[in-house]
Amino acid sequence: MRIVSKYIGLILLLSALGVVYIANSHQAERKMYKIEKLKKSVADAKSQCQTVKSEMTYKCTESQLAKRLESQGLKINSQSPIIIDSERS
Amino acid sequence: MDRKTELLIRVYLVFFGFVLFALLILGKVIKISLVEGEKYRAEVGKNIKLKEVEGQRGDIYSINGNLLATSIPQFDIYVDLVTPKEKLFNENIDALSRSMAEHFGKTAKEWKTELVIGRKNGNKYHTLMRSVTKDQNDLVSSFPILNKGPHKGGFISIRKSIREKPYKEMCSRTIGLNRSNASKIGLERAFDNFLKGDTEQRLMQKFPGRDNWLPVFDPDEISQKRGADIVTTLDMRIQDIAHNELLNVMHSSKAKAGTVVVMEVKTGAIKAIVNLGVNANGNYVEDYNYAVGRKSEPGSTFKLIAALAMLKDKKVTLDTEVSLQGGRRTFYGREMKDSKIHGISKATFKEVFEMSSNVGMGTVAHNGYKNREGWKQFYNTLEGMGVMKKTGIEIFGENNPFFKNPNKDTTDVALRWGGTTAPWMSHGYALEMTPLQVLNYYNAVANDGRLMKPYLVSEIVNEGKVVKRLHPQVLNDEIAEPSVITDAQELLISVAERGTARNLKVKNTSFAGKTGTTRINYWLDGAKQYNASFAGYFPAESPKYSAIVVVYDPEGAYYGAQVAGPVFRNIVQRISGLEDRIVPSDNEETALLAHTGYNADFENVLDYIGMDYSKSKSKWVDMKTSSEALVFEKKKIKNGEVPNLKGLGLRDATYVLESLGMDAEVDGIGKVYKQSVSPGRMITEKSIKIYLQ
Repeated sequence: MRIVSKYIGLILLLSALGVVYIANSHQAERKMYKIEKLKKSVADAKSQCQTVKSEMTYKCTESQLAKRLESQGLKINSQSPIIIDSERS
Repeated sequence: MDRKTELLIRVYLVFFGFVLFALLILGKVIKISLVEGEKYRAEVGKNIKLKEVEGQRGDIYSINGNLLATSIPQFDIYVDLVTPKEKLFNENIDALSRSMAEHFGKTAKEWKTELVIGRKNGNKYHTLMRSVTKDQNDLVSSFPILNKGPHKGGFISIRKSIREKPYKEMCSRTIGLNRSNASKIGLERAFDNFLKGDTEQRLMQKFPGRDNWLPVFDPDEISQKRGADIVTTLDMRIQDIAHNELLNVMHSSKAKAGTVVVMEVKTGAIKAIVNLGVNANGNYVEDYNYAVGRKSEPGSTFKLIAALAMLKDKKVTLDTEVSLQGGRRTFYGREMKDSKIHGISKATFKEVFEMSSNVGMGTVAHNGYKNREGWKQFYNTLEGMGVMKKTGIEIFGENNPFFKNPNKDTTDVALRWGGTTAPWMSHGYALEMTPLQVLNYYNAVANDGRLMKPYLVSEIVNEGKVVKRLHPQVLNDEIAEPSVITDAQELLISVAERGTARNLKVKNTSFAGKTGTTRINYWLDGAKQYNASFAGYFPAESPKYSAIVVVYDPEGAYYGAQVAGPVFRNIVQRISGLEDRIVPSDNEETALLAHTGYNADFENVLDYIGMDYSKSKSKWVDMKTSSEALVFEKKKIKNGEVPNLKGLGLRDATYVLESLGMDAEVDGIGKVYKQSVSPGRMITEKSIKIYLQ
């Protein structure tokens, strides 16, 4: 009995620390879960961006544009450009 | 009982209560660890395990930073048809079927039947859809029943990573495939070590009630490394042009296969590589790397290499008279014919080359390399130029060229060097090379005799930092002395000007090259089959790109100049504007200054070229741009006030000053950028100094 009453403060402290420890690790676990989840959604968003981008690069190629613009009367110039050279005086 | 004993009893009661509770816990601990231990320890393995985690694979880029290959996630969707409760399933199955039908084809009835039967059979892993995108996956997960999640709705989605090529078919064989069930190909294979992320073992745990694995916290943990990115030499604008030009011709000629390679002359960097073959559905797809992997008898495009050897060995000059015998001659009982029986009896070697006469080439080779000593000389000269070696391009599967060897004594006719070998080799038969290997010699001629190693990858980049830069490599600094190279260049230019390629001329630019029409499978009976080819470089006077076009087994027209030539010409025509010409760049200020002057002059010029502009009533104006048209802003010129002369030409500036009664002292030429008296002041002195540049 005497021992108990002598160390009651320490016991209380230890149990308080125990509670803090448990709460803390629980908290940490939840944070990790959240981090992992966010990481995944970042990766997903990135890949989604990548998918859209790649679709866009394809649609922006000269040949694809030419195909789409054919109906509007635009076509690829069949003549190579005339290059004007000038000597600056 | 006094109060003290009573208190003591109470305390002991509580105390024993605690002790009993503690003993119970202790008992349970012992029971769990000893009696039920095995069971739980087995259970642990289910929630914690070592998993192999692979870092994301690197991307492949074009030289301009366009994405050629990347990893994107895809999903396989399954449904656990047993999990959903009776009520949930029956009430929502119609809605789910409707949603599926609305977005993914099939009728609602078909979906319903499929799912109901699956449920009846107790299917806990029914395949709903395969390989869908993230968006589609998210959409499906929002459908009735499935939106209740994995535990109530039975929605199971398995994520996997696939390689996506934004440019689809374009150079896809060269970029390659990353597959686990068969060997990798293309750049994905050649650079796999760089591309693949680090694989590592990681301790993963699963928390009860959650279904994804999480890494167990480890302070030393480095997140698994992503693979490095590869920057290729490919230029997607050139690739696009080459791809579609070849595709057009393939469609119209119904060819079996075709390839185009465009190379940068100075470096050997491959700017475009197209490989099209016909698939089972009759579509043209990148099914094999013909340019790198398919060797065949090159035919007339080899005449350049033969001519190089013969010029090098001084067997012939451009002006040597060669007997053509009308286009038909027999060597050791075997007849050689020109593509047309032309009746010409004699021509210079240059003319022989222009008209691509087989007999002419064969005669020169026959006279130059007689008997075994001569054959060995021919062989050694070709070998010395490196013709018998691979180019060493990064892609796996480059074929070794095939040449007969006069040093080897063999009875095998296919390998034995005989009297007809040199004459036939001189026009591209009795030997085999890949299109890329042939092209490399056209490139060397364009590059004044320096043979470069063709290459596809210029940089390896890791986390934004260049970890390896691959420089152009010289295979042979001088395949022949300069005079021989100049002669060879002259030959190729005259082919384009007067020879077999004369009908392919391009306005505003020039090229040099050689046509090729190769009879294939000539040992078989039946219809004659040909490969049409064209190799060359452009612009002829200062070569920037070299290119080869090979069309395998076209129907109808089969001459190199008719089938492959137009592809080459169109490529020249469309690429020649893309060369990065160095335009002298004015700095911004001077460029802006050029837009100030006399209003009427501007109006005259703009009216003449037909450009829109908004008019100004002012005499002197600053020209600015807006989104719709050019805008003139009034330039203030007031009597008795020093004007702002910035941007005016000398003539305009002196005119303005004189009209205000001032005298100008001039320094420099061009436009005014500085003046000695600042604008806006009252005119006190008549003289002003202006600085022009």
